[in-house]
Order: sequence, then structure tokens, then C-alpha cells
Amino acid sequence: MKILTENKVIADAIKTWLGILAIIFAGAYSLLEYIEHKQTVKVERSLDYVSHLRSGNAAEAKLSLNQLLADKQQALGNILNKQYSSESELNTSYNAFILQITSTPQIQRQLEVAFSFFEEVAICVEKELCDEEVIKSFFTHEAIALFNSYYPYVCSLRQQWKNKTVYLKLERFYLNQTGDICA
Amino acid sequence: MTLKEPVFIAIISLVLLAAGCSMVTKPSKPQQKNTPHAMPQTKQVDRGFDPCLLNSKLAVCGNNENSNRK
Repeated sequence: MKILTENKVIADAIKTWLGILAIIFAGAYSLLEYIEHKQTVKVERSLDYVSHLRSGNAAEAKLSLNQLLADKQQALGNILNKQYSSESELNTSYNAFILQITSTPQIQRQLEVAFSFFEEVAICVEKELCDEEVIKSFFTHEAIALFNSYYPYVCSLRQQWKNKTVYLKLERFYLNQTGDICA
Repeated sequence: MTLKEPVFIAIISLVLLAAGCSMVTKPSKPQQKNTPHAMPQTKQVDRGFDPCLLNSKLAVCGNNENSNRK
């Protein structure tokens, strides 16, 4: 009888602790599943942006802007390959060229669409709504190419609107720029 | 009550819990929604042009840690 009584106490204790462990395990597993679900949602949202860049308004804008540079390839090559006495002379020539080819309202509209798209994606990552790794894998190359090509236009906007933060998020996110490129 | 019953019940519960969790279907990789089966054929003009590749002395290329030059 004493053995049975002792076993009953131990059995109750083990039962209780096993129950507690089961609850803790279930809670931890649920938490991990929730975190993974959040990550999956972020990745899916990022891939939606990728699809939009391939087939939406941003795609048309990007294509127009790239086509513009392709059409002016020879003139662009002449400016960039020319020997200059100073860097400021190179920058002055390049700035003037880009501002001249972006003077039409249609091209300015395309630039606004393209830059706004990339900046919107950067904000999505900043707010932890999109996955940073996916976004940077798909968008960094194109964002850098676009910004490096048309940065004189961005500088002119900042000067015109007296606002140094125009497309600054795009610049910081994709290009890791720390200084002021428009100075 | 002996030691066997509650331990047995607890083990069965854990086994059932583990079995239930493993039956929850979840994609191992994120599923791509609305992925076009035929991706637009990329041409040179689709990929963009980086002037820093031709001349790295432009103002924008100087502090650019993520330049396409790398």
C-alpha cells in the first residue's frame, strides 16, 4: 500500500510536468510557425513588386528610359570616353547632356514613375513589409543603373524644389550613398 | 492509480501533438503568385545602362558602394 501511495505522488508530479512541457512546446511551435508565416507574406509581397516591375507601369517607364539612353548611346559614349582636364568638366558635360534629353514632359513623367516605384519598394523594406534580401536581389542592379544614369535630373529637382530629400530614400537604400552627390 | 497511466497518457498526447503539427501543410519555399510562364525576353535595353562602367569619375560613382562596377 505504501508503494502504491508513493507511486501515486510521483505519477501526479510527472503528469503535471509533462502537461506543462507539452503546453510550452505547443506554444513555442506556434510562435515559430507565426514568424515563418510573416516571413512568407513578406517574400510574397516582394515578389508581387517584382512582377509589377516586369509588366506594370514601372516596366514601361523603365523601358522608355533605357531606350532613350540606347538611342543616345553614341553621344553618351563620346561624353563619357572623352578626356577632360578635370572631373568638374566631365560632370558639367554629363549633367548638361542628361538635362537636355530629359527636358520633355513625357520623359520626366517616365522618370517620376520609375523613381517613385523604386522608392516605394525601399519604403516597403524600411517598414519591414517586404523582404530586404529578395528586394535587393531583384532590384539593386536596375535601380543603380537608372539612378546613376539620370542623377543630374534628380539633382535638378532637388535644386528646383529646394528639397534635398527628393528620391533620397532610393539613393540611400540601393546605392548606400552617404555624401551629397549633387554638391 | 499507478505510475503507468499518466505517463502513458502524456506520451500519447505528445505523439498526437507532434503528428498533428507535422500534418500542417506549409510550403517549404514561398510560392510565386501570378508568375508569368513566359518571362519577357530580356534585351540589353531592358537591363539598363550604368555610366559608371564607362567613366567612374562621375559625381555619382565616387561614394557608391553598390556600384555595378563591382
